[in-house]
Amino acid sequence: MSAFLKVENLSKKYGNHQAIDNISFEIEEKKLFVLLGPSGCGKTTTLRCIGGLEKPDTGIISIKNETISNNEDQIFVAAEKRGMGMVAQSYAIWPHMSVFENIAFPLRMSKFDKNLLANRVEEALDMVQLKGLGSRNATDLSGGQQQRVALARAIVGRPKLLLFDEPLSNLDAKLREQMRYLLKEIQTEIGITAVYVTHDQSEAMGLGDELIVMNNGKIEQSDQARSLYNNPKTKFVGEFIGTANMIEGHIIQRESNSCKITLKNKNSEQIIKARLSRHTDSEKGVLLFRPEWISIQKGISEKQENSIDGIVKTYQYLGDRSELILETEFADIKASVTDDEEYIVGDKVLIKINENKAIVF
Amino acid sequence: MTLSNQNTYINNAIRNISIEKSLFWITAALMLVAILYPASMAIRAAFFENDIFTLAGFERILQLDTIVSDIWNTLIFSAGSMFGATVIGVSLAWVNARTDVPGVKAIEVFCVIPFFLSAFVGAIAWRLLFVPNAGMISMFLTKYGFPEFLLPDIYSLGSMVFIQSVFYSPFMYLYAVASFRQMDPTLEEIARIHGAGNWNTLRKITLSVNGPALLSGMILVFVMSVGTLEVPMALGSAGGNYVLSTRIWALMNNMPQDVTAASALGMIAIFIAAIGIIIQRRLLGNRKFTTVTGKGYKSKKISLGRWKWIVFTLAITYIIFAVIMPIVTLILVALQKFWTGSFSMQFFTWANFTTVLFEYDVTARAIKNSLFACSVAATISVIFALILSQIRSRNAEAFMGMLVLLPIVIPGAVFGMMVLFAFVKTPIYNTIFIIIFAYVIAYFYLAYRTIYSVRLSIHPELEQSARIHGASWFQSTRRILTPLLKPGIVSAWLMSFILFIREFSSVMFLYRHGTEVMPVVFFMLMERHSARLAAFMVIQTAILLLIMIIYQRFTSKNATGAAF
Repeated sequence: MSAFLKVENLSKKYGNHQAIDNISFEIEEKKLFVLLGPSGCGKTTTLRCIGGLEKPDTGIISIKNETISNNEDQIFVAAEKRGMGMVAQSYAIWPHMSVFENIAFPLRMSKFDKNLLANRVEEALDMVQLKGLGSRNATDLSGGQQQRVALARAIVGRPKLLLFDEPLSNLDAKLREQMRYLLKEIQTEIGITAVYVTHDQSEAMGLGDELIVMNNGKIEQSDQARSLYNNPKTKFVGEFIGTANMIEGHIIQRESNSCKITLKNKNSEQIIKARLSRHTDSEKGVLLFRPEWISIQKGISEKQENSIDGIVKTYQYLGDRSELILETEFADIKASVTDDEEYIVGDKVLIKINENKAIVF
Repeated sequence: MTLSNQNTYINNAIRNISIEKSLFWITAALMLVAILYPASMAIRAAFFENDIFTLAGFERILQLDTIVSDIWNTLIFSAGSMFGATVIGVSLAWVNARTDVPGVKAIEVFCVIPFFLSAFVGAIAWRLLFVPNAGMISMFLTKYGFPEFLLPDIYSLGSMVFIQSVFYSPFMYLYAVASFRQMDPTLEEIARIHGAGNWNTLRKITLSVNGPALLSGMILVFVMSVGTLEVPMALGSAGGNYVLSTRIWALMNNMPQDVTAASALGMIAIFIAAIGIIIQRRLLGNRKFTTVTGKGYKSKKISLGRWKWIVFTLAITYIIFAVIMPIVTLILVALQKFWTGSFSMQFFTWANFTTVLFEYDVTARAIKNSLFACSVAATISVIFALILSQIRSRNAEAFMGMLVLLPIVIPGAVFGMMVLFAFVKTPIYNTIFIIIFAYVIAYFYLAYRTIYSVRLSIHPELEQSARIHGASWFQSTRRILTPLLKPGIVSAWLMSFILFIREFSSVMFLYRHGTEVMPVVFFMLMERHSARLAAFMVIQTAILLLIMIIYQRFTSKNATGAAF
């Protein structure tokens, strides 16, 4: 399938701050595409460039091979001519219009057939589960309902592309989860292509067919959620997505995909085997592994391969799993185990690191 | 802490809260009486003669041949000025708040000056420029063959509307600019994404969302125009274009005086103002748009492209018309021995300034009177505002909202007459305190809103935690609240002072020999000595500009917007 939205060599500078630094990516049709990253990473600026609210310094943006922004050719299609829909973080519900009029606005702007307009708005209201609220004053609605109105408004005109700018971050945790399911359901149901900006990684992983992790205006990695979690390409991604334990060490033996790393301190050293993320000549490396990429053995036992001695520092039983912090000679390690073993603070344990999962950067 | 200790604290707290509350309600009641008593005296004056109920006053005004044209002129003048001021003020506000016009900061400062100069000063300056046969511009133009009949008639109703619009537009500007700045810019961006171009975004979103604020500003300009004596006296009376306010003044001050008829006309003026307010309420309905602002993006300004310099030129034209030209004219005229219609080095003199400052007793006295009355009134306003912005409860705030609005809806000239009636039989009548009273009541909303809005931004927990840690109400007010309110206090004082010193319409009813304030002397000099008048106006303008500079230094940018 060819790319639906194509962004090539996009850059944008504010004064001395390089908000976007020469990024390129493609989105397939009917997919939900997430731009993820910490605040100030350039994700919102990228979205605004796509929407036409911001003029890029360089780069080409095209939809279905039709250029909407190209600095070299002086092409910049105005926001209102791009045929997109958008949901903003602040809801941006127009306070002087009823719910119905808010939703009808995109249709009225595109001179939609007046006889069919009411039906179309009702349909959108129904889709966001606000049936019958059309006559209400928009500002009388709760935050969650306003967000639904914003969503209905964004989809009512069947836009080519839907833009989401942190749409759920002003909602409380429970509503956020509900909206997440509703949003995904609607997006698949009407088969719309969407770009979704967020800094919340669970939102991103839950929603995104494809994710881009951005940092400092650059793309760190573009992948599916599963790959981002299991095979982070950079230390930043490994740390930003999910929880990560990181211990510094020296790489002593390299193979094409794996390596051995020595963790050292004053009294002892330990060799760990793990995957090697990329070929680097540097001696120094960082071992990264997730809390569930280890297994724990209670009681003292003789040294085993790929394992470290530790002492239980804290222990929390959470039903489906237990979370522990283990003190070791090198660093405190977070562990998450699903065995039903009970631990007591002070227990001596052996921590075995899964060599097929842990990665050295 | 022991239990009994704790009880004492709680008891103290309760006692202090009631002190705070009673202080509030006593002051609020005093304010209410200060507004309602004069109003009732005016109603009484309109309907009673020698303590007997009568409609004679209304009968007499209906017999005046001028009654229809007076009312008609008032409507045209007020409605015309309202629309004119709205077009100018809202455009300037939009340009400054939402576009990338060059030199915004400088334009902003100049945009509000005309209001503080006062429309009377502006009208006199324009009169000096365009008066037939002696106006600086009209003489210059006719000298080079410009046909005389094409010159604007400075005394016409059209000119009155134009000048009133120019000098009252800053009021609309302040309303609009605050509203535009508070609006979440995402509201506009979302409209653009969903297919609205610049024009539709402006019309359907920007102006509509800010509609309530703009409408409130418009109605105030309307009511102020109904009650003003400034432009109608400076231009209208000379050209035979009377409005209700000038007619009321004439009935009160010309012989034979007719108090009953004047009061009856006052009722009609109030009626016209009330109709304006009712129309506004109808249009507004119950809507008061609270715009939810997200943590959002820094508001992006609209790029004007090649329109940039055209818009810039228009803004500069306004500043030239409303600020530069009047001030330059007054300075030129003030530096002439006598005014011949054009500036000549032959007649250059500083004498007008020395005369009005040191030799002419009325002017010298007026300066002293103005400074005294305005300082005292500003101080009283701030103290009252501090007391009245203390209480945070729905009832108290709703009551205050109504209380401060009451004087605003009374046309200025009628208000002056009311205050006169209220004190005419008391010793205050012959003192400057009657003017101080009028200042405080007429403009109290400004001090109140300024301090109240700063007060609102102070989180109640700041005081509550002081109280919990053992401070009494007085201590927490002194040590926590007052320092935090300081910017609001300074800004309210200066802003009140500026408004007082330029107030014309009400004091024209209230001065006596010896209590003249500066605007009164403007009126006295108006037909007698242009050069001295100009010199005196330059002095007042200098005082005003000085205070405005102090004000700008002292306060944050938002304070003015919040007050209006």
